Amino acid sequence: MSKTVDLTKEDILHIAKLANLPISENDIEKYQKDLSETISYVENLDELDISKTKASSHTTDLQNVYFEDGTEETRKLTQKQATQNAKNIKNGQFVVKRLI
Amino acid sequence: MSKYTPVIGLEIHVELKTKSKMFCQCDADFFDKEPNTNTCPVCLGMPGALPVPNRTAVEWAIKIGQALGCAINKQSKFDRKHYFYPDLPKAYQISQYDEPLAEHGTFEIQNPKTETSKKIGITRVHLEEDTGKLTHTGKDTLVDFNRSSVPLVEIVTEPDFDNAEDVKIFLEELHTIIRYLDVSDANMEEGSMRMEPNISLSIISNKEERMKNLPNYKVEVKNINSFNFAKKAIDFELIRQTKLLDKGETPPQETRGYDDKKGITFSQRSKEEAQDYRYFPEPDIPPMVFVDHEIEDLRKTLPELPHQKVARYIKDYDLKYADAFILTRRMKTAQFFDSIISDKTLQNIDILVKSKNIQNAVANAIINKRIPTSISQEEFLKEFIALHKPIEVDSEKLTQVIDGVIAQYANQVEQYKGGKVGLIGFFIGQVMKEMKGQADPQEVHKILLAKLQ
Amino acid sequence: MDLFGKTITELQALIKDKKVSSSEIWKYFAQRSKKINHDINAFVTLLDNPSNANVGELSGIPLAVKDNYCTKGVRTTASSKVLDDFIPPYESTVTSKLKLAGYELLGKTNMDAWAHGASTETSDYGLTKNPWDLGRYPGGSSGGSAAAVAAYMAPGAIGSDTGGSIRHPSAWCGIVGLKPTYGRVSRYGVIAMGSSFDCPGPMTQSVEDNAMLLQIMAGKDQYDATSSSDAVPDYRSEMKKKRKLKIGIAREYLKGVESDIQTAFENMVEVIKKMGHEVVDVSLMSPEYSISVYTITQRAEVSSNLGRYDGIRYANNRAYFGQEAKRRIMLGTYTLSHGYYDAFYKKAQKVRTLIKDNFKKTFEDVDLIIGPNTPVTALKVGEFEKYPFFGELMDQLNEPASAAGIPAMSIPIGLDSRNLPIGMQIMGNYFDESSIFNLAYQIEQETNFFDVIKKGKEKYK
Repeated sequence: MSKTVDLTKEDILHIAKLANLPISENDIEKYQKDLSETISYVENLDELDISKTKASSHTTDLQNVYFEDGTEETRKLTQKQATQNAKNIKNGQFVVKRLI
Repeated sequence: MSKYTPVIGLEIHVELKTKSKMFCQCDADFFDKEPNTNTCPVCLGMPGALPVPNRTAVEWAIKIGQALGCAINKQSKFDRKHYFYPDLPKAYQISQYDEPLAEHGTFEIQNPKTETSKKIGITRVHLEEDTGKLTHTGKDTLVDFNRSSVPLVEIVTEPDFDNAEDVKIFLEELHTIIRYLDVSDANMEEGSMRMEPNISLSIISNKEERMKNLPNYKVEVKNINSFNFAKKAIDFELIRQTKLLDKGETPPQETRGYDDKKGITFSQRSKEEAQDYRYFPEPDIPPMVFVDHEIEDLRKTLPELPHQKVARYIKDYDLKYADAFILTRRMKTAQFFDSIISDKTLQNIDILVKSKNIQNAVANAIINKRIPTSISQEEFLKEFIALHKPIEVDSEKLTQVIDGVIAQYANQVEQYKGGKVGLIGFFIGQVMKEMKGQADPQEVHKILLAKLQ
Repeated sequence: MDLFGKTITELQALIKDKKVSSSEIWKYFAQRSKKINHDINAFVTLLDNPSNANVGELSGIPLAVKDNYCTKGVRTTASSKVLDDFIPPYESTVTSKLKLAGYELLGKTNMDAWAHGASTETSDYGLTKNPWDLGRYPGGSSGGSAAAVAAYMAPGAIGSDTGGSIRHPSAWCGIVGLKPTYGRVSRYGVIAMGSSFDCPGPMTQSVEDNAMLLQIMAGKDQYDATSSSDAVPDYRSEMKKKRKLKIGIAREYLKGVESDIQTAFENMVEVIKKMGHEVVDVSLMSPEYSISVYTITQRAEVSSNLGRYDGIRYANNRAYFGQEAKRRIMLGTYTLSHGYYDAFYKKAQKVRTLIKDNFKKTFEDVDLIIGPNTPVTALKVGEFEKYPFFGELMDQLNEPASAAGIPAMSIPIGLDSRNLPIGMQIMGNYFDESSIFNLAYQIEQETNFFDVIKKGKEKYK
């Protein structure tokens, strides 16, 4: 049976906070609708018997992929390269508004 | 007698001294480098960059788990732990959630003063990456990513501690073990070992009951930079919490910082709303699967650990606990001791030692720094043997010297005969000085007693 | 020398025979692209000058590259204003390999912002138009790359396919597009969307070009832990073998498909039978389950992958995200949030196992599976509003292969009554791109794809 998900305004604001996304008051209702719709659709998975199924977090059968300990200069960035795309730099460090 | 019992659990982070970082090949040694000169697209969290785990970091984390008596999980994986903070470039830390490398260990701590031991439960040992470094200055916070993605091993204990002294002992022992494994400098002052205690007080005195009904709050304390500060911070916190509980108040669940100058803990942020880290399995890294012999092969590379050495020295050599403890604080010292003890020349030589046995004598020589351990094995043996060579006493000369001392110090002899028996020590000393140590003080004592009757 | 319409393979031969120089070829495509881009808007960035490296088998042949590949020193936006002025300090593995083979970067193509979509409409740099009808979408998210090839602005292009993003626009623009097996091609340097789905792949005018590009792109990459160590076959020689294949058709994939597409597909099935291949019915799980698996898992990964765009080390701040990106981040965050993980993410992962197993079992019996890959042909701009849950339902026939990780190619099989291209998909077993190339090549030799590609380019001669 389909259980319509009722996402409240608080739910949306909470999700936006977790996601560090600025959303406007006007958008909240739209998000409530969009998310609820999507969630209703994906309920079709409940039609399947997965009681004995293992979860797949990968589609490959790869295991134990490592690199051997040891430094490599190939990908190393200079300070200039590391900081060249930032809008606010001071003495080679990235700047944000003071946290503490 | 306090009506409260402390409930303390520890969360420890150890920075591994691998050559390269956890998920990229930048240098893991970031000390003293110009900001943001030790990064690559991966540890800087650039668009499109992907992590590949460092094999050695995985092996060393397993070894730490094994050294702490944990079971190693045959299936393990990395997970993403999400939160937003400027020092976390991807807005998630690659860590481990429900399938850590090691779990369910037990570790016994020994109190060298009381010679008693306690079992501490090790909940888990897992692997993750470090963040960048923040510097707060003026109106800004500055971020340097040189340290970003350095491998960190996180060790979590059960809340089995009920006093600060045990915590300090545990931390010191952990530090020693990690140095034995040679996987980290484990230095709290330098930040290669970090520790956060979770502290609360319980009114239940029975340990089992207490563990089943943990207090409904806990306070986490951050910014503790030494073993001593750990004890001080915990002691302060226990007093602070006691005062609140006595007033009928529950201490708020929160994170507090430790101010070592003022010797206090202070409120930092409310832990009221537990962070929702939205863990899910790291899709960019395939799972880790270990077979029995791999795990065993790693275990075989563990050196004899300090507590194992202590037990062996006591059992095999009849060493005092305190002496065994001191000898094993640095693996190099213990290994040196081991090599001296097992030396064939020493075993075959006929020397007289005052200690219980040769091993105790060697221990004595090392502990009391009578012979340095910085010299070679041969040189140490030479000096040790010389130290214990039976002294060839020239009895004629000895008699002469003793008579000489009695004559020289006639006044003191008078006083001695008059009742100042303590002066015998002075006479022995003078004789030994004259004899340049080449006499047996007990023999000298005997002769003097006879002559001064 | 009239270069118009030449495939990469043909251009290579001309350069080898010294009939034309690399710089003439560069000039030709650079000029065409600049001009045609005014109408089509396939490119976000067009380069002014070639690098003139002139090495390797691609010897200076220019290709269009989707704007989610980090190209060192060249602006890379993922078609989002968040990355409006982002210049990567490093090169993706795929473009590095192409560089080693001597290609020239013609320009960065337009896409749905962050690859979120099936229309290229969510781009912050304007819509790309379908070269067949400028009032219609090219499909997405690799819409710019598909349009560039279809209008012969570039002889070939690179795209990425997460839930159909190569196959869908290839069908709507009438070209050859391949989503390789997940892990066949390195993702290092490709701006991540759905980490367990993203597949970089070639988009070309011919099957041989496609095989040639895959040959260069494929292989294990030490920088991508999910890339496969499986040996890379010689795709072109595998492609040319005279094989008779056993091909499955899943009736589940014919539901809800427009009648013109159905007809064209049935037609193609007859052609395939006449060519001597065995065609059988197979039963696959309904694509609707793949939509749910894909929706949940991909959005969870998207919400995670887009966390790093905080404006501190690069990029503009998060207020610059478009509506679709925000929507996906919100849903992904929700399904991963405390208390919902089991109900959504974990459940989706389990069904994903069922989908994988379903394909694995089916491929024990057949070499390939064919079917339509879009329910409709290119929609008119604005028509997407009509379709609820639009992106996903447009891609429903593509998402099963994405969920399983198997390779799949889209080839043109005719035109509909509106003179718009119809695509067909060929799905293969894990790492069996060879069989896909083989069938596609045979069909191309037999039908020339009913001249679809030829007709498409003609408008832009």
